Amino acid sequence: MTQREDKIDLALREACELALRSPELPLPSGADPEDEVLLRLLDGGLPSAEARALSQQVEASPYARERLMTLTEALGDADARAPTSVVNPFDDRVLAGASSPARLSFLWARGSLRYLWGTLEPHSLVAVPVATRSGTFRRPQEETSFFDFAHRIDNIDVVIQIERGRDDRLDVQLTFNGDQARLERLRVTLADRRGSLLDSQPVEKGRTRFAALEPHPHELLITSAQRELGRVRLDVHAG
Amino acid sequence: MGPMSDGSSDQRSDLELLQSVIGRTPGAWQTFFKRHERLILACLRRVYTRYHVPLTQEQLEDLVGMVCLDLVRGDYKKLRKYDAERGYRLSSWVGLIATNIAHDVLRRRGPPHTSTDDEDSPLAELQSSLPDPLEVLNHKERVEILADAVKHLTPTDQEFIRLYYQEQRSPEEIAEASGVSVNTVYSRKNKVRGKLVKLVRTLTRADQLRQE
Repeated sequence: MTQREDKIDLALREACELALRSPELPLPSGADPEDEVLLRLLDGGLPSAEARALSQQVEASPYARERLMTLTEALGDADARAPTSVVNPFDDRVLAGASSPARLSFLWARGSLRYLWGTLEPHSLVAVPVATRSGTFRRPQEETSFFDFAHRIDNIDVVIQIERGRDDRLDVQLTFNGDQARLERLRVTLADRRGSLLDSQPVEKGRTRFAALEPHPHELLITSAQRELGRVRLDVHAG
Repeated sequence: MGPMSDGSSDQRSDLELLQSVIGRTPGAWQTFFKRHERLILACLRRVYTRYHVPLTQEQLEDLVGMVCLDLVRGDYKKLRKYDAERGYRLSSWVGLIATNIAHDVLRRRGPPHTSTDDEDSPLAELQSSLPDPLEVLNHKERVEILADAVKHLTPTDQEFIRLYYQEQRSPEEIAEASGVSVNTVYSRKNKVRGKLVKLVRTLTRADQLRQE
């Protein structure tokens, strides 16, 4: 209890425990119906007699019951185009220009980089010509491992380019476009996701590049005169 | 996310789209994700809300990443297992995957976050005018009647005191999560306490009347 807390605060803490106690998180057990059976029950894929019997089984299984209830409600939220406070797609936050970090999530598998999701969309998803011994074929972009994203940080346009470099490493380039005087003061710092500094470079001629990054999560911090302008998180997952 | 469509304008059926994803048609995975994004987010949020666990934007993004990874790992191993003949929808199946992941993460999470309380909160005025009913009660009675009063608060006020008193989040954290200033958090705390005081008076009075 701090100096500013009184006995009402103390009582309130305990009262909250009493009044707002969370339901206990159910644990799975061997007696739970299988996921597939739950889904068939939800979507009406079971004969009525079987559905009735299974409903009783679900009622007796807290783990199955809780998940079925959550899923039913969530499907309702998604179908009903519920208010963003419930489902909150990331679009709204990005369009509102909030200062949360941009986030780009990739899968690194078999030496290839695949874009999973993020708060920005890849600029283009096009087939890219690849030279081979027998000529040229157009490889789907998701296998060519080159992605570019348009972003805007503190009224400066940024193009973020990420590509697979040599020896299964990643190259990241940021190109800035805006008032020249502002661009000259920009600096980009590269850190791993634990915040350990890996590199820091000034932006020169509107551009900065980090080469041969390990395919792991990284964070880019963009600053101007030691003031943070924005962050870009690169989540690279092995898969 | 960005300017891409939400996947609903794509005329492909769920099954056709799934085949395109597995066949690595450029852009198919993005369309698939956009088509299910709201559902995935709704499932994750519903689970966290159900168990009164606060969820930051960053945590939500982490969870979405986990769901995506689960779906694409091993060359779409999980997506390849979907069989439309089994009698359930692709969206239900994706939703259950998201729900299961949220449950798994909650089970693995550590103890609730604690933080220092507000050393500088402007509570002095309020403390000097504590309500009589609460002053005269002993601690156990006070807790019980406050718990009763809390149940009469609006869901929004309950959420606030859950964050402040039960989760013991700092005013700065609550301000950031709610998108308001720290001063607003202090002001909110005083208002909610004020409502509780009124509720306690009403409940105590009703109890007295019942006894008479």
